Amino acid sequence: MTVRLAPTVAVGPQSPRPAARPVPDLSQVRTILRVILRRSTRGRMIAGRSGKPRGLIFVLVMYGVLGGFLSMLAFAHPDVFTFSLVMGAYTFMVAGMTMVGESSTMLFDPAENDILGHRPIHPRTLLLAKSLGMISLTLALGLAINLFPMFAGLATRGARWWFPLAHVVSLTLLVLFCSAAVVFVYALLARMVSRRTFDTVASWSQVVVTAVLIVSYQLVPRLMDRMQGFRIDAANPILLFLPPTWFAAVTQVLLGADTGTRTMAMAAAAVLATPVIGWAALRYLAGDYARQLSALGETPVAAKPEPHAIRPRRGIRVDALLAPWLRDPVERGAFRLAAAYLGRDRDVRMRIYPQLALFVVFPVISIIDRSQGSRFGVLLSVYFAATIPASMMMTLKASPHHAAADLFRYAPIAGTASIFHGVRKASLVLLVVPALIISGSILWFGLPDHHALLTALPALLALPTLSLLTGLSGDYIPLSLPPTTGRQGAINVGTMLIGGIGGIVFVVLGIIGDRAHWFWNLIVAEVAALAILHPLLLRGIRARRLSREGE
Amino acid sequence: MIVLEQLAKSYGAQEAVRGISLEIPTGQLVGLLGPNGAGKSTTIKMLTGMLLPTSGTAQVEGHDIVRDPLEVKRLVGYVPESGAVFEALTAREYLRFVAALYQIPEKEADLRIDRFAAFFDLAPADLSGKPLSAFSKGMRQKVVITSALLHNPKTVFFDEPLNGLDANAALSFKTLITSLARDGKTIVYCSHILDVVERVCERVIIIHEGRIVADGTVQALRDQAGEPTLERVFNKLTATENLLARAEEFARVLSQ
Repeated sequence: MTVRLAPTVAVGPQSPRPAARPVPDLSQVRTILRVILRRSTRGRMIAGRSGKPRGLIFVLVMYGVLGGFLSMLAFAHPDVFTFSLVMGAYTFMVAGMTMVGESSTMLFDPAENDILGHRPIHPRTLLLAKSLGMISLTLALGLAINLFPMFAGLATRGARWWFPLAHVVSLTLLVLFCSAAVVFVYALLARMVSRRTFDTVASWSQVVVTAVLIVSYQLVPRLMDRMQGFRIDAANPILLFLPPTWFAAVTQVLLGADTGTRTMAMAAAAVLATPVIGWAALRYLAGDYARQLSALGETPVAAKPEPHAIRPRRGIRVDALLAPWLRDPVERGAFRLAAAYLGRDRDVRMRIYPQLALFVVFPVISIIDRSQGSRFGVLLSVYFAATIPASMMMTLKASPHHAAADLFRYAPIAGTASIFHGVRKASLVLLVVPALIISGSILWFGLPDHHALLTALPALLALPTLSLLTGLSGDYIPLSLPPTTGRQGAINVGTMLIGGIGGIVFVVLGIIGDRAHWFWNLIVAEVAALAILHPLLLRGIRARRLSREGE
Repeated sequence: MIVLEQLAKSYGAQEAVRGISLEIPTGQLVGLLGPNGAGKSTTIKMLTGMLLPTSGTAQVEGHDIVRDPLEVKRLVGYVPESGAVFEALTAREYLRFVAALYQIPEKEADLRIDRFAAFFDLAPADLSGKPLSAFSKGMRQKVVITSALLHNPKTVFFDEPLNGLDANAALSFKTLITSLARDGKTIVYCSHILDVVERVCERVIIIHEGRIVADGTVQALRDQAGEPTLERVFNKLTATENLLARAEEFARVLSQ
């Protein structure tokens, strides 16, 4: 039988063929950028008790407070180069880490492919618009951090009245450099690896980028120590290889404080590196970025076994070992859910894995640089370990699959305590324990004084109890919020400020107890206190009832 | 059995559901229809215990949705319109997770999962070998439907359950829900595909602007409205103007 198809129905005259558009199309860039910024500022990053969004303002205020603390440095009267370098190094780390954290959502949102993938947008235009979006966000954060320091810098030696202006210029260049570098790395990865390996390589490359950012930041105070007191000599050749110093040199040049060859060379590196890297990313790698983006959103049509198939029961073995600790089936389910997202979800991995770099970098630095004493690495390792549970649980609250979390609302669960404990235990077992083993091993083999490790004991004993604190605020429903711009930055700063304080308190107590020779008495007292506090916190969390919309 | 008495929900000044009263006996398959924003999803969310009503009462299988939401949740199944799942999990992991939330032992859950997988033609390799993100929309929808029925609920709410299903799977599904209703389950079926509702549901309730504007068998509604199809009845009750004429006029303007 022959089937005759009806002729195509003409709905109207065809639109005239448009004239060739320039690439990148700046009008499209403007339009896309406007939407990106609107989404960022309207995003529901952190909701208050009233449920009203606090948005980007909340994050900016937090960064501003951090900058306020840092600006105190200016009143120790360092020279302007040293001050600019410290501020630049700090901004470099914070802005870079934010960029790394946000880039995953901003550059590779599979859902977005359905919206933009079929539009007549050149990949270079799209990449430029997204890069500008990232730059705007990071610049806002950078400005928030530097708001107080840019004026406090007037108190430094050699500063002129236009220091704030010069500082803003170098800061802008620094942010542009960070953005260009991150986009370049992603675009390069998109060219080099297949879709199957992209996710894994991308998340681990973020760990490396984070490690580099921290090392760059940490080298600055160490250089200050090794040089003449509280001053860094711009003539030191090692500075040529540290990007933050390039931007401090820009400030120097703009202030007319130093126009020597070396300073000029560093300033030139700052001015030239950004456009070169940015141009390379946009000119040569944009096509591969577009391919990778469309590959991320593709859906296989056939049910063929895939070479990257998940090994059955891989995650189950871990919780089978922990069966006595995960007796509640809901808790066990939440543990598995968190484990699966930690191991497989691109977005979660890219937000959490970079933190693991801290557990290698700080112990290594403390081994190389003994000037701070052997307890430095122990102190920071425990501090960061204490921030992990809160950080992971807050990170796991957001996911592109947030609509699926409605399941927790219509499933017969009275409260979110079991879910909270499942995710919390996953963070302890799958992140805190491995991180402490890594940093502990590095310190054990690297430090001659093993006694320093003992001072971590009070904090380690308190870790499970400290991890309960986040359960006291509201319903904990994992993966239930849409990922929004700036959220990860807020989590990083929030957990650094609040989450780790408990860890620090216990380590300091350990150090004091050790020096005053009542360490073991302290341990006994702590165990007794925790034996009371832990069940109380558990009871408080269990007593919370899952609220319904409208309650 | 579902009983609603003056059930209402407001969001500030906006009234999403304005005092709905109705009764759905056990084993009935009811189509719940309404234009976008009519209040269908809000009503379902209240009946599944997700949303607290502003006023009125409702009972599902004898349990009050305000006083006893947990028991209600134990007894109902729900296929949300979003069809969302945790995509980093495999289908089996996801279904086991759902089973755990309903306190179904893992062995029993696995048996039920395999039974549903066989019904929906989901191969074991699909079930355990790849994440749900690698599933097609239709395959994912099969998992969502399975997750709603896994605990053998007495009442099931389906919100656009045919989303993404191919013709064969859709046919199997329609047969499945009529069988489930015959076996005594109460089924509330929300859809914009009126032909399916017309063929499958024994009773149709149309909601418009938060109120019930029609309630009866398909035949009764057609007779009452004097229209030949459910689509025309729906249009007559919920459209503010002659949509057909408007569409024709729009097409004419577009071609100019």
